[in-house]
Amino acid sequence: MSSSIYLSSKNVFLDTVNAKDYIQLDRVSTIYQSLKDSIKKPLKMILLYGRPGTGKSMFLSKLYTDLSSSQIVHLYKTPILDESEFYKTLAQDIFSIKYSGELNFTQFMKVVNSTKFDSIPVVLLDEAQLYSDVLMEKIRLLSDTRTVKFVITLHKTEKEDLIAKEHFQTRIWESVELENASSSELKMYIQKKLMKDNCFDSANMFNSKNVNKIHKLTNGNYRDTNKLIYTLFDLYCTYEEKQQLSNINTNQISSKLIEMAAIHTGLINA
Amino acid sequence: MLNTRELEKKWLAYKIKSYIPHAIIISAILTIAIFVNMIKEAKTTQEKEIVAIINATDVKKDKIEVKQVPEQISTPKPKKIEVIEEYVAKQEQTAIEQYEELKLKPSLSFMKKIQSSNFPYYQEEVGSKKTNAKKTNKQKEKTLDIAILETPTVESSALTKINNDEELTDNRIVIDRHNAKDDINTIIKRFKKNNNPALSLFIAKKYYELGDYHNSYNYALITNQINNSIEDSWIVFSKSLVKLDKKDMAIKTLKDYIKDSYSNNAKILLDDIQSGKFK
Repeated sequence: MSSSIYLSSKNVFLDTVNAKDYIQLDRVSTIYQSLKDSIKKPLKMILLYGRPGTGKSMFLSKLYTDLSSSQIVHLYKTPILDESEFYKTLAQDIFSIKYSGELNFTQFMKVVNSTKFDSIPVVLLDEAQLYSDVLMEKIRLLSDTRTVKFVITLHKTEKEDLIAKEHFQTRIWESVELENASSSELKMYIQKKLMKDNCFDSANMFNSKNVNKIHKLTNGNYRDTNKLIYTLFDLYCTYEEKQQLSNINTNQISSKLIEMAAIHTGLINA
Repeated sequence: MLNTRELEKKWLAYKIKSYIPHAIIISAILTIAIFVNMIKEAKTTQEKEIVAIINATDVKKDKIEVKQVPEQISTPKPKKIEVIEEYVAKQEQTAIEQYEELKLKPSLSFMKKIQSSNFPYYQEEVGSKKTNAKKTNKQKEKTLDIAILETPTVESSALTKINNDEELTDNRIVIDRHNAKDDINTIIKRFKKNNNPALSLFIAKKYYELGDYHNSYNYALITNQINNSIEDSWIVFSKSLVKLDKKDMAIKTLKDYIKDSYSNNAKILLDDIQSGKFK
């Protein structure tokens, strides 16, 4: 096995949110399709929620990529916390109106009400739990005009559940929950991800036993899995550079190296 | 590049840490298993010892037909005493076990009657011992002389000694027996110190074997008063009563005991007494 395979395998698991890296799994694909269908429906708001690392940002990124060719879609990965800045950014991106001075909610509502689109523009807001309650309330009022449709993602915590209840209970017509992967899904995710980058040999190194161990350590969290496998291949690269690979079984992923990677990433408190 | 050496150290520590609970559980299970096994073994060895003691006492009963040489009574008695002490110690153990297992409460009303009757415990020891012992010794000497002449067998190395001179002259084997009463006296002293029913039972049995039925009766009664659940004390007591021509009392005693204990040995003895087999 050549050294480039470990290196390339390692790079596959770099934790980046890129729609190209989206891995289609059966359950996830079904959820994604239902989300896409929900956008076509006359809904005011769609809530996408789940624990950190379940792929919400990847979902939004994929949705943005898929929808941008057919309708007006704007993705805001980083929250715009200043209220005026938020209105000004939306006014510029959706309505192509540039404001140099301050823009308040009333002025922005006038703009929203005066404009009609053939297809309702979709605004994708990631990490919506970072928006203030006041701004969230105003986003709710904006969605009530049916001029703009919002898809927001929230971390699933008790606090965020409360926000969802208080602000969106009556307005959100669709909510989609993302969950951690099961062991079999995780195996498929790892192998598909590697095979997508032509790392067939390293994909074959993962058997059910290894993946179960990884699943046990990461609890099926995609972000943690990416981190763990990145470190795992980093370890393989290190041993290879030190010419100590002969001591390690390269036909399948070493359990010892998985645990070492988990110790390094903090998944195991050694 | 990752510091693999440091990671390997941490991994090793983690592995050892993760095996500790398993090791503790396994060692705990093993310890319990060994402990249980030891208890079982101890029980079986105790049972074996009891059986061995019972067999040994039966053998001794058969072998005690030996000639007494009064002139040589003054010689020391170390080996026999050792044997007796061992036996008594074992008897103590078995008796303790029996106490733990058997807790019978027979009617003791007849005991009061017996106490008020003509059989004192220790007072008769000196006087009656002499007369009875003399009689029994004489009787034994007679019978033993005949037995030895007819069947010249050596019984036990600890108990006997061959008289070489006599053997050379007329081929007779003279068996030297240490005085059993001295042995009994040491046991009596021990009994008076610790009041152990195993000792008193032993004394009762020995007196019975020597034909001193008054004392065997007394010590059986003492044993019974200390612990009334020892079957042997009832049996020796009843046998002594029969020998003392108190057959009716022996039958009554045994019946009372059988009523509470359902003892097979007592039943057998009762049948024997009633049928006249045991006289």
